[in-house]
Amino acid sequence: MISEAHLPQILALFLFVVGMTIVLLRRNTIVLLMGIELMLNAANLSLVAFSRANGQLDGQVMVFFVITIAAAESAVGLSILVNLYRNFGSINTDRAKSLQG
Amino acid sequence: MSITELFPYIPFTDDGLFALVPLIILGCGGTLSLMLAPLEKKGELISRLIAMATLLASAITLCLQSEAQQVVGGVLLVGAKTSYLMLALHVVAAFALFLLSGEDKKESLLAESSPLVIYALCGMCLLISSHHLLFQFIAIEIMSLAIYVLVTMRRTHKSSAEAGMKYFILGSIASATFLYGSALIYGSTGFFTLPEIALAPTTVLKTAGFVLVIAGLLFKVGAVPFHGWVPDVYEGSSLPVTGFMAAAVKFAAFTVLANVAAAGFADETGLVIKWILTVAAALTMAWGNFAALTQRGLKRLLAYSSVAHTGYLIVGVIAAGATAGAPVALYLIFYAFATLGAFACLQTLAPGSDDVPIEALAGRGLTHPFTSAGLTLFLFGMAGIPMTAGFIGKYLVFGSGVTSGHVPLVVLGVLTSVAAVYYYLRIVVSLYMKPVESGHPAPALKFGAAVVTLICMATTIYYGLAPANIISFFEKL
Repeated sequence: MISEAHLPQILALFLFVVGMTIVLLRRNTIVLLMGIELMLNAANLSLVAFSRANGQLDGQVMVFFVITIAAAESAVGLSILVNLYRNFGSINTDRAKSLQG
Repeated sequence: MSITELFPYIPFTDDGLFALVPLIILGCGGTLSLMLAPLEKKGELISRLIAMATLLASAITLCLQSEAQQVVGGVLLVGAKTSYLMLALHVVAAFALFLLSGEDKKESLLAESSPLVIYALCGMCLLISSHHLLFQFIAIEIMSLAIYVLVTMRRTHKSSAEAGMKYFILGSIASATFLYGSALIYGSTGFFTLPEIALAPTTVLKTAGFVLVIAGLLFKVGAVPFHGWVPDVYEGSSLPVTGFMAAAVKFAAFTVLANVAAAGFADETGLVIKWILTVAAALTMAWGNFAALTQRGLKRLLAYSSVAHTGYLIVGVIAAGATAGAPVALYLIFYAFATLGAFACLQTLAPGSDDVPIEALAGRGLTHPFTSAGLTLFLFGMAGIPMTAGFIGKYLVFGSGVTSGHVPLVVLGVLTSVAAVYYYLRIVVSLYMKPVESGHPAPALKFGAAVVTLICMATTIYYGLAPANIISFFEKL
């Protein structure tokens, strides 16, 4: 039933769900950034595996773009984090609750 | 298989290269402006002037191109419609720069705010013309990364830091969801380009991918239940940035949502997408308007009103189905001018970027007759009162909804927009029928805000009275 080609996809789905769970449950902003990276890399893994299964290179080439974007995203995220620390004296999201959502 | 077969080289035609010129100008101009921004003397002024010149140059090259064509092997589809939408975005960005020039000293914004607006615009233009899921992801990120920084730009304000962090985290989840969804669609169909995806056979995997992609985009446009960031981000960022986001980000995100949904509607996947969008539209219209009724702060009220408008626009997307959807584009243009104008008026009437209660506007109708008249007009436009462009937009969107047989949604839309008149009128009543309160000083009218208010007023009235030209232009495309 589950062939060899499915295994990377199952792993990708697992990583994506783990990343999403981390982002939704944890309060430490650094850990949140790690969770976001995990989600993006799960998508990358899925792209590469599909690309191989489809016998094309499109997906694998696109992964390079995504890796670059993920690096830029981390840089922006960390600078926002520094700003958050300067204002609240903590990087935990439960300290920053001045807005009511 | 040789390397040239694996990576076939697609030579650019002259026309294809010319179609990319606006994007290239925006990218280079933004970078130049960014490099000159830290100059000690006049760095701010120089970077802003370069940003303006970039906008002008890119807008001129946009005006020169007309014929519809595919660029870079079908990644970008450009034509008269995308050129027009991009021009509207250029105008919005120019207005944002005008408004920023009055505000940046007071809010201690850095000089880098002007290049960031240009970068965000570059991402939006790429987003509007792209019909390739991965390039849409890249464009969304170019736009969002610039906007995250713009939101956090009021570095000394706690609300800004918190809003930026919230927006960043939630926005990144949405982007990652979009990316994973496009990976699943690619796995099922073998394509990233939307026209080919629309023709591919329906599978469970493709449907799941579309659900994830649509969920990511619904976040970007701020639809319920993904709207949590909207009021916080609107409250935390400085007024020009809020205006830019409300007008331009929603504009670009909705255009791509309409494109993706149109590809999904082509086969049985469309049933699932339609169901999701219908639920989102109903919830967004109901909750956006209901929450706006209870708000005290002006910025939060406008934030929830923007959520409510998202609901009306989703009705337009559903009604358009697999077609291009002229009503949505027109509504977006009209709404962009009304909302940007409203934020320009607030900049004069309620100084400072911290949220103020509606009562702070009391009696401003007498002390600031021009700006108050402008704000009243824009609020009427958002409420959809006849003779304004907002009415034409609502009329077209709801009309297309009835024609395509979505009567219950349209009834809900009309009922909620009647309720919305109440909270828009609350602001107008405060402007004209309350005595002036002491303790809320009003600054003089600034040049930038006055220009933006005047042009937005002219647009709102002109398209409200004589919409025939622009409607026939969009329906022909």
